[in-house]
Amino acid sequence: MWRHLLERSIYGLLTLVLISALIFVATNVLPGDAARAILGRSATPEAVAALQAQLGLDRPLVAQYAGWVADILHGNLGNSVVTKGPVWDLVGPRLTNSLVLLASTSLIALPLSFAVGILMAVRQGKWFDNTANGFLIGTAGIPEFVLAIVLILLLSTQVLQLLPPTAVLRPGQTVLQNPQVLVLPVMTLTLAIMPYLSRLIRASLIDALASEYVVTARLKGLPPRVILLRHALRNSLVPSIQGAALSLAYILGGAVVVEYIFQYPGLGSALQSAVSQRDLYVIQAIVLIFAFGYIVFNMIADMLTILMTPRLRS
Amino acid sequence: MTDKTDPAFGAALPAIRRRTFLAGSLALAAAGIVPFGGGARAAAPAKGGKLTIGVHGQAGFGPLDPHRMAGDIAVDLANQFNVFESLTHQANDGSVEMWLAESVTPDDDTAAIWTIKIKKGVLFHDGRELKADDVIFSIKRIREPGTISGGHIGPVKAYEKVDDHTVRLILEGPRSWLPTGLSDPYSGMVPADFDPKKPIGTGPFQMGEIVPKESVTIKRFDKYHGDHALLDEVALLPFEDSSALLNALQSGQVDIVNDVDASLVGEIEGNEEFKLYNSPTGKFFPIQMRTDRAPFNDPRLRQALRLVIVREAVLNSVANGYATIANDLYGRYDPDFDDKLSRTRDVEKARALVKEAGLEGTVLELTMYHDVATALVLAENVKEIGLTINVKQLDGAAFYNEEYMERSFFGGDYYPSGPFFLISSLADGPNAGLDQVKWRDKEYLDLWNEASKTVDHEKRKAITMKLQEILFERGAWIIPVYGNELGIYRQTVVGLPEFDQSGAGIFRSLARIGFAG
Repeated sequence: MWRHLLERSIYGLLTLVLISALIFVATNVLPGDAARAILGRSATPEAVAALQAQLGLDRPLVAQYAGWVADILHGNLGNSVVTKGPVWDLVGPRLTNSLVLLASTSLIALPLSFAVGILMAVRQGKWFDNTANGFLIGTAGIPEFVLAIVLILLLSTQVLQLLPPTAVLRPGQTVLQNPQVLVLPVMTLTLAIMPYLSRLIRASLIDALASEYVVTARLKGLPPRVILLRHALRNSLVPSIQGAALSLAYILGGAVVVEYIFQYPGLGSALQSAVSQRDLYVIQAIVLIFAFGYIVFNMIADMLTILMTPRLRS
Repeated sequence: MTDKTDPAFGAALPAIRRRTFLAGSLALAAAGIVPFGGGARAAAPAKGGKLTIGVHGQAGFGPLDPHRMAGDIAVDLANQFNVFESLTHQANDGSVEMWLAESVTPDDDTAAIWTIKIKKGVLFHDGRELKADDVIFSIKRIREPGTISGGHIGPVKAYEKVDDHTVRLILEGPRSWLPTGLSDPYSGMVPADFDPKKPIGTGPFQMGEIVPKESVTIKRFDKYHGDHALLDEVALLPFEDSSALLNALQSGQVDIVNDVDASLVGEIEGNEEFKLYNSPTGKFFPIQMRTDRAPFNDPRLRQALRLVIVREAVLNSVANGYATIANDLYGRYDPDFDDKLSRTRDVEKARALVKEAGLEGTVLELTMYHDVATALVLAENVKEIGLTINVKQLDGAAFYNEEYMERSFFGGDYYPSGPFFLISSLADGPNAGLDQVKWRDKEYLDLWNEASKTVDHEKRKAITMKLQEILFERGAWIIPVYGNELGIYRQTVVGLPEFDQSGAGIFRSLARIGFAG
């Protein structure tokens, strides 16, 4: 198992290097550069050349990349070309906010999805299963920005005015000091990942419940609770763990749309604004965080899978 | 220094300062209009409070440079005489008044030597007084390459400090309209040791905290040289999405939405809690044609496009009616603006011009940044005269790429309202600051230089009229409409003007507005 972990880490690291090179090239392929985005109309050739030199954008691509890698190895993410300040000053608080959103969503969405999925499997074909299934399939068909808008209309602007529709913070305030701003984004993300997760759990649990070892256990006269919790559930969790890991990685990196609609000050909205300004090092830092999150979540999922599958443990 | 107080609002205060009020009344009488009405003043604003302004765009990039465009809305906020102030000021009606300068006068009739007397007792936010050295430093800084308003002042041969409050500028060439040239909001006065990381100016507000890309705060400056602001603080919050911005307004997270898109105004219709700030302005997004190469070097083609565009369509379907028809001229509120030059659509004439120029069937590519809907209207209209326009839209970074200065046909750059010569010195005057259309019309440039030599206002006005005629007949810009400035604010916010020509009416009135007491 430790060997496996080491292997995965090495592959993960390689992936990160590859991604960083890819982003670097991709950002440079985009028409226009940071110097022009900053100067706008005053982008006279002299002004552009001066600013490019100041920002180091006049160096060959390979030299720029090598410089950036060297900086990273010294723990320095570089400077934002827009704010001129360290990238970390811009990305750090956003990362915290994204992690807060991720944590709150997982605390609610994961237990809820598991509970609903298990209940559906146990009550397969009954009233609860059918209703919940219908609801989940319906929700799965709605894009999350529509979910977000409907929730805003219902809970903060038109019908009821219970919750703030945007996560706007006063200067110096943090998301945790204003937990009410988290409610709508968390609800939206929960509704976005629940259909997938619950139905995954339901399907694998139903499979497990129909398997031969469960039938044997039942014939042996074990109480249904024990069959469910000790035998069926344990085996059916494996695919769900992978699913949960994917969902979490998605929330960390893919919640761009939700952050945009709720004006949530997370990494997604920071990435969007960095791309529009071609703020290369900020783009790099954020995409690397996303990729890192993906790799870590998948590794955790793999470890858990191994721990829960005796066949793989040896 | 004439008037700093909204006269109508001043009249509502019990202890009115007589001089201010008189000056205000005189300014109104001279302008012949009453710029402020009663609608926005249900109650007098009280002192104190924090105002939150939401804007659609980006703000808070960190260090703040008042003399350079950066796409940072915080700079606009600071520059509209809130944190930084210029020597002169464009009044709400479009005339130019003294501000940090007591007077700006030519020494003789060459219009090349000017004496600037600085108002006494103007303090920077760190408590030091504004003096001649600061003014000289600031003007030198405004003249550095890459600034936006350096061209308004023109090359300076020598800066002389006459005394602590008097500066003499010896210009390379004549500039009869120098007081106007000093009025640009991007020509603010800063201390001689100015540091963009700790930006200080002389305005009614001083910079507060900047949270990168999240919020920018300005705070009342209690030693301001004019009438003090009422609000304790103003926070500027940038939004990426305009619907999120409206949602924030409706839930009370934002008090004013600045520069709201015309298509979103309907969202608050019938809601008593909100009011619409809707003022005509002189701002515009020109469609520009490069005059130095084919096919737009042929004035007949330029004129044909200007004759065929359906301005009412731009007014009604692009601007939702929140605009005024323009006739391809800028400087709408300049006292010397020629409002008699008016164009009627003439498809026959446009078709004849295209035919005469031998350009029938030409396919043109029009590259747009903002305001792409106007380009689509034009593309539709030119089908009637045998031309094809393919419209291409780009984002900011792509629009201003290497090809920016090479394109022949493009649009979507924002131009503010403003006096004729300020826009002209950016766009089409000699050595134009932006020089996007490469305007080299000899008759025009000669007349322009003539106007710059002419100190007498009436004589200069006659020349300015002639300049506008030339632009009307063969200019390089299509200006279909002047957009209104639109804003939505909570009804508890009081003191906003009814009218401000600048297009920045909300930002410009921050020192006078407040919450209902």
